[in-house]
Amino acid sequence: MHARVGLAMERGSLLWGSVLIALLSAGMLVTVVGMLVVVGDLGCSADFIGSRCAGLVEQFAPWENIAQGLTGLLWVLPTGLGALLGVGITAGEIERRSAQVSWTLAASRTRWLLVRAVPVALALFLILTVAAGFAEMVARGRLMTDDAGFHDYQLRSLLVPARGLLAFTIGLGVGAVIGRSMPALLVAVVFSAASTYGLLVLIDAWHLAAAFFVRMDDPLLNSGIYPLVASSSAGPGPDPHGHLLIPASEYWVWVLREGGLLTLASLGAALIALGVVQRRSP
Amino acid sequence: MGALRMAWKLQRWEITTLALVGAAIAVTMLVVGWRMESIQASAPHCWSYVDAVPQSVVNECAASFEEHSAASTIGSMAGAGAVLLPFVLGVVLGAPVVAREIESRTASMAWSVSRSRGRWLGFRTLPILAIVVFAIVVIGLSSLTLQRQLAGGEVGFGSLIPPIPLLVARGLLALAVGLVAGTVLGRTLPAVLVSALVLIALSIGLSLGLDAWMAGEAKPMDQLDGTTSKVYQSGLRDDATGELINLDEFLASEDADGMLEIPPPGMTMVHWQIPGSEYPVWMAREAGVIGGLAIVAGVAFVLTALRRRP
Repeated sequence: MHARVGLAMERGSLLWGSVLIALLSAGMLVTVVGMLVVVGDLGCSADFIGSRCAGLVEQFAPWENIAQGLTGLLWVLPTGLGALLGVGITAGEIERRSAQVSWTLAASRTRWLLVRAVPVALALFLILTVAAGFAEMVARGRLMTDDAGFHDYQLRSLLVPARGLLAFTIGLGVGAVIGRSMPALLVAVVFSAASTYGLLVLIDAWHLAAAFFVRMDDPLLNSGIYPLVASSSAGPGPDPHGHLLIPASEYWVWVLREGGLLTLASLGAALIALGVVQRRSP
Repeated sequence: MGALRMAWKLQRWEITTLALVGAAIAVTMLVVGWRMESIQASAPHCWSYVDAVPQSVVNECAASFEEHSAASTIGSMAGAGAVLLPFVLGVVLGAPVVAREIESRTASMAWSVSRSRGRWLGFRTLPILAIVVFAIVVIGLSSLTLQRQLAGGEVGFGSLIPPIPLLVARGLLALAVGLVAGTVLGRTLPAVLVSALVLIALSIGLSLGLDAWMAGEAKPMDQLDGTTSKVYQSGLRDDATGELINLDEFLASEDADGMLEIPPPGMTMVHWQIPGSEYPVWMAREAGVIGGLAIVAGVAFVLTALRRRP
């Protein structure tokens, strides 16, 4: 019952957000089918070695470009959609001047926020997980493999919904502070993008500290499964003899670590939002 | 002037936030562009090579190259912001114009008090239009030095930041789409989402359409036109007959088996491309197409807004 109220209040944004993700997913599906049709059952690899495969590069390239563009949207969509849904709950209520009534009628403001935010957060998590699933299919289609390793892993794993939830909780807090939807949306997007970027810098440094040097002729570099190549903008530049790597076998460890960091940040932002809602005058 | 003051009063939060973001992007582009230029000017001998740079120069100029590269990374991020900003400006300022009025149930009052609905629409939308165009022109002008630097001296098809008319056309399209979505839906945040959806779909469609148009117009040329051209495919020309063969098809054919040298004797390498000199023409065409779409969306907005119930 409570969940239905929370979802009903945000049905417009949720509906259109779902349509956006559904269209994106459909686009990714079409792209995967297009790539499969081009490659057929020739057993080509991503470097198109072999005379029969080499002739397909030009037909494959447009599909690959579209795939890259569509999955690239997953850098911005979770942040935009998360912030929009978060802001809509708090700022929307204050802007409509219905906060006075709903905060007074609710057993407590904490309860009000939980009833309104948790169902929307779950719905957001679900639709972004669907998009990440389709992005996984696209990565496998592009690389023609069943294990894409770390290739574009931040665009196709649980990190996609985790980024969305971070933006959602930031949106809740910023919406509660500003109390007007559109300005709050802008500020929340800026804060979410900055937080996500900050976390990425932190994670890059962590990767660099955990990676080990692998020579160019090491089988790990030529296994066909994509390891994570750690790099630092402050470093001395690429080494011609090898790379600093994290092997693909550690994929889940790193996804869970990064997901854990994003979840911690989301919990922090949610607590701040709760504090603001508790103290704010409606 | 009164209309501008009204626009400011109604959307001061949005305008202030966007002005701050826009100013940050513009200042970053100006400073980074100037910095990249001064790095090159301070060590001209490091930057006088067009193709391969001798190892001695690489060693001597490592600091200059590194500094330029670091500035280029920041410049690229600011440039990406400049590319996105017209869309953000259009949607954020356009979607609430009618939607907020309907959402807060003040539309019936505002529309009945005004002399005509058309006049009300003009009074509310024209200042926003002026603000969007002004902001985009300022962003575009701030990007000129950086644009040249990021493109390696000469602006062409590989440039990150498009020319000002194209940026303005994109902003106008986003504004018109935001206005239509806000009027039809009557709710601000869903209108932002729908505008984003429509703009993403239009951008993908336009990109595919223009690419197909350009691929059709690409001509086979012996030399690659520097880094400014748009290359579609490479091939070989039989010197004796003048016959053109696609390179991928040639490599996949039996003729290429055991071949050590490309192009093989008696053949010349050719590249189907649109030369960089045609960049302004194609940008003008793209701006024209997008501007046309913006006009269509603008007309749709006026018709919808005139008929909509408050």
